[in-house]
Amino acid sequence: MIHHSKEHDRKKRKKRMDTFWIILTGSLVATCSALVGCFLVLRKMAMVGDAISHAVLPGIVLAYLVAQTRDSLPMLIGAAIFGVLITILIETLHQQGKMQIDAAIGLSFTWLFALGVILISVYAGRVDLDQDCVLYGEIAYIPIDIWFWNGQDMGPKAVWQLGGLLGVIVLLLVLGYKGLKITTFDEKFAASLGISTIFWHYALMSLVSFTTVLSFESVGAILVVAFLVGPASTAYLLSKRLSEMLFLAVLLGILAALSGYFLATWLNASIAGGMAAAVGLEFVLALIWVSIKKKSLEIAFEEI
Amino acid sequence: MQTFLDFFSFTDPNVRWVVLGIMAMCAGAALVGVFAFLQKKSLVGDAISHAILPGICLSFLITESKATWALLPGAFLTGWFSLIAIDYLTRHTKLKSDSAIALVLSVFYGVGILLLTMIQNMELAQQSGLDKFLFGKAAAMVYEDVLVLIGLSILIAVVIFSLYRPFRLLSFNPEYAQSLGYPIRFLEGLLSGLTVLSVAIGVQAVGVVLMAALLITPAATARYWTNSLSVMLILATFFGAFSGLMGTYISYTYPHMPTGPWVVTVLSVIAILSVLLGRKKGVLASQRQLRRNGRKMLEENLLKCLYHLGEMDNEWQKKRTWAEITQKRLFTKKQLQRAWKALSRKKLLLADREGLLLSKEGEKMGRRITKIHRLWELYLTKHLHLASDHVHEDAEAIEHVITPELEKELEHQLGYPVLDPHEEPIPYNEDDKKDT
Amino acid sequence: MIQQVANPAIELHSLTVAYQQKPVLWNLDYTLPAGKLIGIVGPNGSGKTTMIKSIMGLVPLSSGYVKIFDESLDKVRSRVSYVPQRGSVDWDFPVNVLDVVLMGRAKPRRLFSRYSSQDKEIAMDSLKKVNMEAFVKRQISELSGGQQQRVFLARALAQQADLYLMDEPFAGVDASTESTIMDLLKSMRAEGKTIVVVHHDLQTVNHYFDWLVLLNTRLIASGPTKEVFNSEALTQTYGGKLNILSRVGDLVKEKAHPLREK
Repeated sequence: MIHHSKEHDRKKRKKRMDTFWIILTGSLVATCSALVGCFLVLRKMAMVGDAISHAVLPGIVLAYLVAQTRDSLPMLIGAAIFGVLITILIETLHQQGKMQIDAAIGLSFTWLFALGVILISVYAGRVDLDQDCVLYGEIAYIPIDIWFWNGQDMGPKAVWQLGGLLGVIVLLLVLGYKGLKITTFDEKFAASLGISTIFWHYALMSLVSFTTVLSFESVGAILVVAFLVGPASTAYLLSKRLSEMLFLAVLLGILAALSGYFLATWLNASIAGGMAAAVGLEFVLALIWVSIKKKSLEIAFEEI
Repeated sequence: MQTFLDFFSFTDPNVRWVVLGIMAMCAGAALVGVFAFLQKKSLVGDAISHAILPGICLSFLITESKATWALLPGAFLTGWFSLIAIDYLTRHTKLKSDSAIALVLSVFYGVGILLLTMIQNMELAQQSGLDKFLFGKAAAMVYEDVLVLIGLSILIAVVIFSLYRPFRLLSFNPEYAQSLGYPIRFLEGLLSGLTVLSVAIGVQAVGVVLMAALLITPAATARYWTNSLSVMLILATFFGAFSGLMGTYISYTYPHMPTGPWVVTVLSVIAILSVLLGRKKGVLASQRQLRRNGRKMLEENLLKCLYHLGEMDNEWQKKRTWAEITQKRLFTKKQLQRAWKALSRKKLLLADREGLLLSKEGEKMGRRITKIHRLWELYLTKHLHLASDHVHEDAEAIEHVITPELEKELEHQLGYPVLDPHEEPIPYNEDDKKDT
Repeated sequence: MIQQVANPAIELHSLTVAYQQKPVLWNLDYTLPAGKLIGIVGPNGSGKTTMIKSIMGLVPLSSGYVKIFDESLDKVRSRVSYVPQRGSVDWDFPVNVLDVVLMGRAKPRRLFSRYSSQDKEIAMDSLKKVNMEAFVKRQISELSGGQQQRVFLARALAQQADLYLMDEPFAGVDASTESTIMDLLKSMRAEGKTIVVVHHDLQTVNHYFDWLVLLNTRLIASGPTKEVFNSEALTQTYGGKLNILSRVGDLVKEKAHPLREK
């Protein structure tokens, strides 16, 4: 009897731990995406972010096939290659092929995504990836894939990978804040100062690719767009300064990860889907708040 | 080969219906896609297709049926709602259109996934297979589904055909259309409605993620072959239907292959080929044009060089040695060889081991180029106020592009001058002045 | 009339620029004097903005070159300031007035370090010069069009350059801003700065500028305002494109013909 309750306690603790890891993973995905996403939104490149997140799929599958592991390094390389490839493809179709930009984006990412799905079907037996994972990730399984170091249980691999990525992003933001801010606000002016706008463009695009691929297992290729664009857009509505916007976006992202988790468990549905829905809810609330404030301002003005 | 025959003989009624349905659906999407493309709203189609997922789930929750007729109303509703949301966000908030589209797309999709997984865990009867809408369920379509697909595609085609003129005006010049008294808002709404409809029926075949390709790619492809809207519509429809056929064929031949991604891949390959080979703005066509320009410039430069040599002793029908020619103008050996071979084929000059001799016709052409060069120099000094030492390089390039028509006008406007800005004579051919 | 000057601030040599292969600036050849207020005038689509951008190296050239203070742009970049059109940026961008003005103190070499206190002083000084010191912490979306233009000007002032290229600084601003800006430009001229302004209001040209460039795809005149600003030159500038020139331009685009051999 005593033994049984111990077993029960252990299971409960394990479940609490899993919940913690899942929310932490979600928060890390949200934080990385929010930081990168702010610049996508401000540069009017949200749809390019969407395109990159779809286009990394064939890169991930090919990396699986070549390296035969689920290790993140080959996946990162594969995804980065395809992330840059699609920006080049879009540019080439637009510049050399004279295709209008929206069509160039739409054509490129649907094609690469289709290739990714075909690759998954062809190598269904050899690739440990299924279509569901592509579409909404498997954040619930994150706590299973543990990183052992010297035989020690260090927690889920994904947390370490995303944590490392967050470190890189924060480092680049701290070092490159000035450059990112100027090139994002006024690209022509930045170029007139002699600042390389191409460098900052590709630095950002690489970060988007990395964020997408490391978030892939947790939330899939499409829902990551909600994390990239959602908190950043909400913060854009509410902030007056860039630092404020970045901070707020991160906060909103983490909040969405947390509330999304509970929404999903309550509905017994996909956790990643719940998080994306929470992102949308936050935006709607912010929108209402902003309109009320605007209305009351207008009324105040009329009274004057 | 056997599967090829099996498939294309369409003896299998299942194959027949599926193929017909998918082709009709692809054609319908391509038709409305052309207008979305022209209005530069291609990516809105992507948002609509993602936004259809929650609608399908809601419909299923209410009707508990997976039949097309049951799911369509919900799909249409949320698809339409996403359009309104994007429109509202770009108009009334500071959000820019790209963020608005991406936000609506991903959040609607997220809600859709939430509902879909919720339904899957509810263990309702019938629920399995609903997730097929993510990537399409072409092979699983039944006769009734196909009927709905075909019927609605025909509806789309009929509406577009009968409102062709107003739609054309709307896509090219909405302000003008409004000034003519067309009900712009109604037409725009109708076009959006058709777009949502075609997307809603399209996700059956290719799924929500790839549906955007069926709208965008055929139109973008057709643009490389024509400048006319009607031809563009026909071509886009053809590309769409053909890709539908090939995609279905591939997944018929290799049963594990998904239909939707193959339809998109076939479409994309056609698109890339068109970008390369297209008659209107294809990459190869422009490269061919560049090579043609290069050849023309080289040949005309050689004629001009021989004419200049003739000017020195007023004798044009005289053989000029290779040394004289290369001294007058810098040609590489390869260039010179290419140019004289082409020109002697055209009977504009005679060549032997010692040198080149202009024919009568060649002399005339050499004189023409020299004349245009000097006329253009004069034009630049007179009308662009350029100093006479700054006009030569421009004339070196422009002399090759002036048409006989422009040549006449240039002569006329400048009043048949005899001297260029460097005091060199402007030579005329005998028939130059007669035409005027 | 095209008057050339010795020791020019800007020299354009056979500058041709094409947009999607169609020439929009054709063979511009002129020199602009240092220490003057210079107006660039021409109808819409005459290539004024493109010309400023090509001087700043922001568009590819089909032919020719630009020299600033007798050097290539890269050598004298720190002495040149560019003020883009107000409409070219997103004014909802989450930055305040001081943030924008500080951007004028950014240098490619010092991009990874923070702004110094001296930078901030210079930025504040510049804001005072345009009467915007009361708006330092204001978010830029809360400014009027005229105030936004003043912020852009303050950013340029913060660069402490010798040559200023301004694209339509008077577009959509109120009368008081216009006179503030004009006073400022005059005091800058008194300090020996060269200021080039793209302008579209013919009424004020006479009072504003010492030197005028009339442009319509091709150069029509460049010289002291008094000598250049006459009805004949204006008819040429605003009397439409030259028929033959624009048809040749169309042909060049259609045939993708090069504007220079090689």
